[in-house]
Amino acid sequence: MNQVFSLHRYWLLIKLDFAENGKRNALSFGVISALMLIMMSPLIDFSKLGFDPVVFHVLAYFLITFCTSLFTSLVFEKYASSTKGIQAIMIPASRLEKFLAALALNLIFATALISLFIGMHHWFLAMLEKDNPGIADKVFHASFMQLLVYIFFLIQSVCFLGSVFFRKAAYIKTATAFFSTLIAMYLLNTIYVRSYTHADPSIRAVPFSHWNVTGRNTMFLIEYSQSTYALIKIFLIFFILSLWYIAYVRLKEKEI
Amino acid sequence: MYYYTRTLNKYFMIHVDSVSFGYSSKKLLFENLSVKLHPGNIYGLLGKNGAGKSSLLRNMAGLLYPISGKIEVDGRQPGNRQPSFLQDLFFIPEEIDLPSITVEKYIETLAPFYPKFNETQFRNYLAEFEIPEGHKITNLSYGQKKKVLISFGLATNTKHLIMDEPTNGLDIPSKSQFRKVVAAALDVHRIILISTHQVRDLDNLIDSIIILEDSKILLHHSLEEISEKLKFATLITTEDDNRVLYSEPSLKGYTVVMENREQEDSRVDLERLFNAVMSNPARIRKLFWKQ
Repeated sequence: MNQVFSLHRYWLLIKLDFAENGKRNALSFGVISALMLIMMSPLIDFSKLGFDPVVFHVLAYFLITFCTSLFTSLVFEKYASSTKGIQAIMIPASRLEKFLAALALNLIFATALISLFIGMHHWFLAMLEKDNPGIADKVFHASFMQLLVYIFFLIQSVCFLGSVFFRKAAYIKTATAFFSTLIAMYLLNTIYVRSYTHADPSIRAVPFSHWNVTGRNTMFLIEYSQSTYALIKIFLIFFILSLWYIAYVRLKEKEI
Repeated sequence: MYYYTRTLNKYFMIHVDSVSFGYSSKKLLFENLSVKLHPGNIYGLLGKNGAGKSSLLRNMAGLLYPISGKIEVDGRQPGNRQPSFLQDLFFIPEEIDLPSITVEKYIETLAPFYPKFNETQFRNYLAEFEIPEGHKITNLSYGQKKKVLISFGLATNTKHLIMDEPTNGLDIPSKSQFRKVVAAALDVHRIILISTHQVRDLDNLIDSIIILEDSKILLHHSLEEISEKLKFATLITTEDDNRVLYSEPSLKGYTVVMENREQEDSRVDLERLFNAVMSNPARIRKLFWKQ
């Protein structure tokens, strides 16, 4: 018997998850999709209310990022309580199968939502173009959309790790750790930039992004080279993979 | 044949070898604990609240990792949580939380993980426990849920069945039903280990006793061996009788646990035995370990 991975056992785990959480997952997906639809719908003319419809598309992105991260932080929720955790650990499947089943179901949920968001963004702005000529030009640039997708999956990976790392209040603790890390990175980056530019106040920078130089009447950006950006993207992918791996190790060592 | 059986017996067992465990390395729950469990027996693990019974069971099931020492179940390390190991060990925890699905769905989704699961057996156990059919498990009472899980655990036909306080939450008729079905489920290849602090619940069920106290095993013997060494009787007075290890007043005088120097037959009373071991550990140790 293969002790590491068997497709049969993996399929049984997926079926088990569907039986236990299928309704909850479908309901969550339905509610988030409906909210997204309301916010991005071309049938509601937000411009009459004085709002740019694209602003609502950005808000819809924040909404799905927030809701999906809440969903993700529940992935390993059962391992947090001894009653459910014992039953989850004692199911005759390998730790890798249990981990991959949880990851796959979470990725299906997250990917479906972000894909729906991208689709709605393009379709609905194209539909609005008829009544609001020029609005189609506001479609997010491919590189910006790529950045949104990266951030979306980065947040999901952090929550995925948080759900197995923290026993109680996983979402709050993960969010605290995540934002603390972001602030620390921003401060370290600022210190680095200031030391590099002799504390020139006209220069500001965001980690992993361009430097913003402000003059009296001018402002220009110092961009990284294309190869540096490519390296940053590769780093982010490895970072996400390493978060998944740490989650796997935590699950392997879980004691109840 | 004898050699073959002995070798198999040696391989198919639970072996706890010099295991120390604690939730902090400074305060150990048990230290250098060793015990061997053999197939074909129902073991009762007894101990006061907080003695470490649940932790010992969880170590055996691979839910907790020992600080030192080794545990082997059929030659496999529980901590590795391999599928083949998990297919052969079913663990029923003290507190349970079953999913919000029907019993039918429960069988459909969980039974395929256990190759030796027998649905007819499962339904017979449910009938024995008088569990209504077609209900969602979450709509059943706590005792009924526990009975569903016990039935499922028995029907998986795993080689090892570990139950932590299984009778908690069961009403009086259910406790006798429990004893009946568990006794019937034992076969020569199976080890059933039941922990409880309600010793009377295991009356007429177990054939070996393990008493855990103060991070050590005070007693680990079969009922047969115990009745050879100890006599359970009623005396009018206990004065000047140095054979008495434990006594408690009763209507006819004193019910006692005493040394069985005359090798007389008596029925082991688990509660009195437990109290005798707790109140006189040194003498029990001397009596049982001098052989």
